Amino acid sequence: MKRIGQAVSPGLAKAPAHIVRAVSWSLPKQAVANVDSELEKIDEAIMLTTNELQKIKNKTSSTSNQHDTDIIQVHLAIARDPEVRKRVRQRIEQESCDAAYAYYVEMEAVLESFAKHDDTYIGERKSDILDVRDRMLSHLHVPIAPVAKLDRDVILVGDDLMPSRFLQYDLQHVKGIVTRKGGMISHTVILARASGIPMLVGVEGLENVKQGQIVILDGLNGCVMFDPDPDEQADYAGQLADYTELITTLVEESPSAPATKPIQANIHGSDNIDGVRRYGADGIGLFRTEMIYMKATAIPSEDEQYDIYKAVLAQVDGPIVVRTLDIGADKQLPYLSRSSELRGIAHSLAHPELLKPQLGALLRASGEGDLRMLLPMVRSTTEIRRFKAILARLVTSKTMTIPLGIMVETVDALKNIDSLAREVDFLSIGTNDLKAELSAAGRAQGGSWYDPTLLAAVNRIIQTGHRHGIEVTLCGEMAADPMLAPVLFGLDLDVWSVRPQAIPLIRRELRKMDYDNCRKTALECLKTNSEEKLRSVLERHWKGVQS
Amino acid sequence: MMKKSYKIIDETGLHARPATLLVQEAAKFKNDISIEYNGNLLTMKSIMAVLSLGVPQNATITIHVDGEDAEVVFAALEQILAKHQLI
Repeated sequence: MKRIGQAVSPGLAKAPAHIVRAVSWSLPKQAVANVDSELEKIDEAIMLTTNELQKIKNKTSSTSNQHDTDIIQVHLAIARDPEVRKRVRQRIEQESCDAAYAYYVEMEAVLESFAKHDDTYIGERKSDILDVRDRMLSHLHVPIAPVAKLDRDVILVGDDLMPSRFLQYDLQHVKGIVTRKGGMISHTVILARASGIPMLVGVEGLENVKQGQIVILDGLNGCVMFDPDPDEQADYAGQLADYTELITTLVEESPSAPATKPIQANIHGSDNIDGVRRYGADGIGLFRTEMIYMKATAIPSEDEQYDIYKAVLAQVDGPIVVRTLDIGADKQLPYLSRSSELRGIAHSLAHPELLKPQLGALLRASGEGDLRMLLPMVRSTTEIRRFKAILARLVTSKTMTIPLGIMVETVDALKNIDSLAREVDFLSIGTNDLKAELSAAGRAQGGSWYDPTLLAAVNRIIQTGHRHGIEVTLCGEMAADPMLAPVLFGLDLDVWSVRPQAIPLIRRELRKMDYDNCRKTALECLKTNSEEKLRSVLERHWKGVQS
Repeated sequence: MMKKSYKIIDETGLHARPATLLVQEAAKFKNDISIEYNGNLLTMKSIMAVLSLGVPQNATITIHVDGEDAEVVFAALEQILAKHQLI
């Protein structure tokens, strides 16, 4: 059975399927003393779930997909169901139990009453009910049961894979991922790319895949085979040999041939330091720290974090740019009592208890090497000043100095770029979020990086940085695209920061580049007004280089 | 109390989308409104209750409305049933 999908992380893999369930909840009944507060919790969860669904509905109705809007409408009705609310309240009062348990039991009863009908339409409704139930339970802060332990190599197959779930797997055994949901820049996709795990999204019919069935994932051509026949397996072996040879060649020639510009690595936590060295990174341009927080069961202490940063400094040459915790919105920490709409630096400023151990650890580790700090989702100079005030109170000796930079990844940051650049020592462009924000503001076109508006924004950020005498890094997915390397080079980008696996290819391209020619192409690209025209300028450039 | 019966002709029965609209409409009225099918009488203001009946094609449902201006309620509900070609 062969199916096609969108290849969002390249590579080839063959392994048995491991079916991923959305979530499973661990819900022991808890006796509570304060029944009123449990009753409040239910209403709050209904409100939060309703708001969440309302937001999704507004989003889908603007993209005019009537079917999706209809489904959300059904979900809203389920979330607000007065009968369910009434019965959950009764149960809490009668049994003096916690809200999450009462809700779960009520929903189980509903599902059971549905099981009487064997209609196919009831099956679909069941998934709607489960969807709403899981949203409600997440707002009631029920801990999610841990994922199955993997004892052999597998390819994860499921409807959807949340980033927090993905991170719980032993990634050494995850050889590939196939899902129905997910797009080019969902967080799981970014994590998969960073971990070098091939991934395919948008694949239909996954409910028929059986646990343990052999899967061949072709993340180069965007297809996947379940239960392949011997011919298909032989074909795969041949392709894999070719691919491995190509990668080996690239990696081998890489460290001995320095590029004209530094190429640094993007990493998640400190698990993949070997990759950073193997692919010859000139330091770490983006050290994401969410994983350190997401993997923990409580706020990681200053000492724990100090050990992590110190170990990375000892293992990697060149600067290490640590991005402070970037959570909120779809990345939540289970041990925080409330989920938050805030993201990035705004979230950290609202939760200094999360930020302080990290800053303390970074300040202490700063004496051990070239450590720098990067603030996510910055929107205003006020945020930078408030951050600096918190930092200043933690500095206890003069040796503690850390260069400070910001991610430029919001429309607000782009607007205030001149005053923001004055406050910091370097800028780092996050094209993933910037592209999404520009699109939401109706200013960007299409879903790719080949977007003149995005390119103009990148150009403006680089120019502003240079006017203030500071370096500009690009650490979004755009930097990992070798096709765009000449344009970024021509726009005078100072540093590339990409997932480790992408370093060899970018380095090879950068070594060959002629600045004047790239400058000319870059200026031509800036003059275009559509993705199509931009692509045609790039095609001309590449044809010229090859001939 | 007033009650009226309807035969559902849609081939997927009383399915989620129109059921949601019926529940939303019922919720707008102060009247007690219930739906009866196959010996079960449940509130029509709960989507879970309505869906749990699993009303198939060619089934007859009976809607019960208590209180004043029951005709207004029936008119509103019938409009939805007709618009979505359920009756």
